[in-house]
Amino acid sequence: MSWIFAILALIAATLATLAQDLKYSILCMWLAGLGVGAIFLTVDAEFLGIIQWIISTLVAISFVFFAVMFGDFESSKEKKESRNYLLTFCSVALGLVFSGLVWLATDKNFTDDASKVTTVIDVKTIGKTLVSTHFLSLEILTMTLFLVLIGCGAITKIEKSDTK
Amino acid sequence: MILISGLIGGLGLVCMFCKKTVLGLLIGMQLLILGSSLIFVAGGASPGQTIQGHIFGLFITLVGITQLGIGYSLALRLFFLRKRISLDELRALKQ
Repeated sequence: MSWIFAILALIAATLATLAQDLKYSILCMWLAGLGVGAIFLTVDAEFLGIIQWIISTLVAISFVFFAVMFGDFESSKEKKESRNYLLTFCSVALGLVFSGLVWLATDKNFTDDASKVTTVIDVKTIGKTLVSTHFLSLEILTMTLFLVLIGCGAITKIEKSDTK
Repeated sequence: MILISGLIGGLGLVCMFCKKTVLGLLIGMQLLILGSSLIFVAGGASPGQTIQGHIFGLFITLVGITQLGIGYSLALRLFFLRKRISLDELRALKQ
């Protein structure tokens, strides 16, 4: 079952990359996010699956608002995209090489079958692990998010020189 | 599944190189993040593995949102400066 969603996500990602119109790119990117969230559900990662669905939907909505506000939908039609096939091939090959390296470096036990998953993963376990084993990482991430929020507010502040 | 994640990440990279708009760049970045979080979650869901993969997948997703926020704020800044958003004019932020 997860392979159906994987193929759907792959097709959506391909269409998002190749679509000339930004509207279709955004919709396909949303679909790819939904597909990946569905894959998470099939491997017993329900929490992450729901998070991925919520984030993909909110990101797609924010992209649409952004494009409508700043006229990116119109300007994307005027600009011709560069199609360097060598670059395309190298980028996809790089992704595959990275995956191959990860597969070689690990136990090669990647599975897409939820029945084979032996670790009990639920929200309680994730929460406990986050605040016990990965507490420092969580703190660093939260501080980074907080600083980024402040930085974004500072960057987007209108200055007098901008209105001249 | 690892192959799919590599392909999605690679396609995200292609999208970042080929698109000429800021939004196109951000779409490519989101696809890259999708691929990388999938690889960690698929690895974490394997038999005998611990929960680490799920934790790292969650971290990658959250960092992706952070990058999106930074991209939006830079684009907004450029819009305030030049009244339009163009990848070619990002250098204007140096001034």
